[in-house]
Amino acid sequence: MSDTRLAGRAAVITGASDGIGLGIAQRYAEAGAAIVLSDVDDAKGESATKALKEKGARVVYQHCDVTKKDDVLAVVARSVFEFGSVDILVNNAYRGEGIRRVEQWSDDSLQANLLMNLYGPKWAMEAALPHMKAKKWGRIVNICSLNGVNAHMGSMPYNSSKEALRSYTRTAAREWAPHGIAANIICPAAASASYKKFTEIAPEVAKATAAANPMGRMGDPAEDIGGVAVFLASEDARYLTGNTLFVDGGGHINGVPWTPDLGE
Amino acid sequence: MTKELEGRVALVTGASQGIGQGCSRAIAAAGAKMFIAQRNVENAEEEAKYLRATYGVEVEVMKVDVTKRAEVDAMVKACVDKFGKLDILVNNAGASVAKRLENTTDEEMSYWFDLNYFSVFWAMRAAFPIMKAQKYGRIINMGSLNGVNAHMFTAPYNASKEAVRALTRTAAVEWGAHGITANIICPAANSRNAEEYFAANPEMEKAILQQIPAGRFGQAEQDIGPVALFLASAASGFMTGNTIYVDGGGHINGVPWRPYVED
Repeated sequence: MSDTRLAGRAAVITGASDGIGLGIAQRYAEAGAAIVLSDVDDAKGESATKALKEKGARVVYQHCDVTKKDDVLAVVARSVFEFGSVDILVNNAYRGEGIRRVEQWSDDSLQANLLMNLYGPKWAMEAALPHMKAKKWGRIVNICSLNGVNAHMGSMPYNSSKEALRSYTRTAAREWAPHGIAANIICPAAASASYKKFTEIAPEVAKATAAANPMGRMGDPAEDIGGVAVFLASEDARYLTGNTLFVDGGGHINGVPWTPDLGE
Repeated sequence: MTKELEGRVALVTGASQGIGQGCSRAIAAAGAKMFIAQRNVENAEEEAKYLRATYGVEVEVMKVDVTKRAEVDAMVKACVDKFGKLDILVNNAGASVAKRLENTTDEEMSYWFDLNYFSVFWAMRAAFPIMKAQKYGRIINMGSLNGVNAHMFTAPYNASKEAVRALTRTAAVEWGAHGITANIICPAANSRNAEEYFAANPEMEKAILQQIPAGRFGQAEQDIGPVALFLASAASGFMTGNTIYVDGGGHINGVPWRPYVED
């Protein structure tokens, strides 16, 4: 069965060599989109791109450190160069750095998170805007986190920067709606690269979190998150903007046993 | 080529007009068997003819007053008796009126809660056993920005719709283990009534249009239906307890809501 929901669309995805970004790339490719797959890990990124190409996808790889404005502008330009447009933008890139008490986080850590989670997406969205406006069509899908929405202990810079991104995304949704651009947020719970890292740092908490999820499991990036990202990028979401979708088996409801050991 | 919802059975209340019609048509287009229920059975029969002719799906019609528990129970039972399953439940029937809070009588509050909240509770409770046995269910309930933002002069509607949201989210937590998802759509789309009103009041149409960021009114079939289809489909299987605003961005930034009410 062929899925043509994203046929003729060009998508830029950051942090797409693994985890949620890759899951979304896989489903976008299946839906017919052309893709610029970007990451900081070039070996992984090239490998993922090759695998998608072998399945018949139109995909190119571009190195992109989202904390560097030139990289971000270049990845959007690459889509225009290769595919003639940038119709869909998925701001997903994230690199985790453990947990710490609020007062133990340095200014540098906070700044690094803001660069990665707010400025990176901002630069990408501003670069994509003129192209989306020209076609009167655009889809922005930004990945945020329940950590931010619920202010989980231990991850203050992540929380703050992801909530900043949510607000930024909703403001853009409001202001850019007249241009046929829809911008939405996914708060996923999936076995991403950072989740796998988290299970190493705090295995008991990770186990309890997955078990407390109403569906009793973590999500699969392609199966569980990818389909939602395809929907948000498609024509079907034309009247849907500024939303936060929790794609987490219901884990965002009822409360989570989030109790990392932060030490003394 | 197999259609997305082929083999599924969907029950939609109030499917002959507005949001309910848009959702029902999108789900029927995807190949589901349809059970449509409402008070005005003539309109329902007419809609059923349209669904059968346009989408080639089986459609069963039942006259149901969703404010009566016995009728809601009978509705769910009739669907399962007829089709052997119930996969998708769209609780759409509901309504509102503008009136000052202090002028709202007990009887009025009770009626609006029967129509907008208890109807949903009864249908969900009745559908649970079959959905649990199937290890599959998709519950789609209609919320409202009126409730979320507590719009003036629609107190019973606001309260009952917010109650539906809490009910839906609680079901999402409790029933997630059974493969049942429950989500809320807060839609904004034109209805026949709205279109008639705008035809008679073009200045009002212009004023309201300015408050919609997307710059156009929603159409139930083109704009709301596809979202209901998404929530009814396999792609949304890991997504539950969400409130989705399908309103061209109207839920952001705030709206200057000021309906006319008597003193």
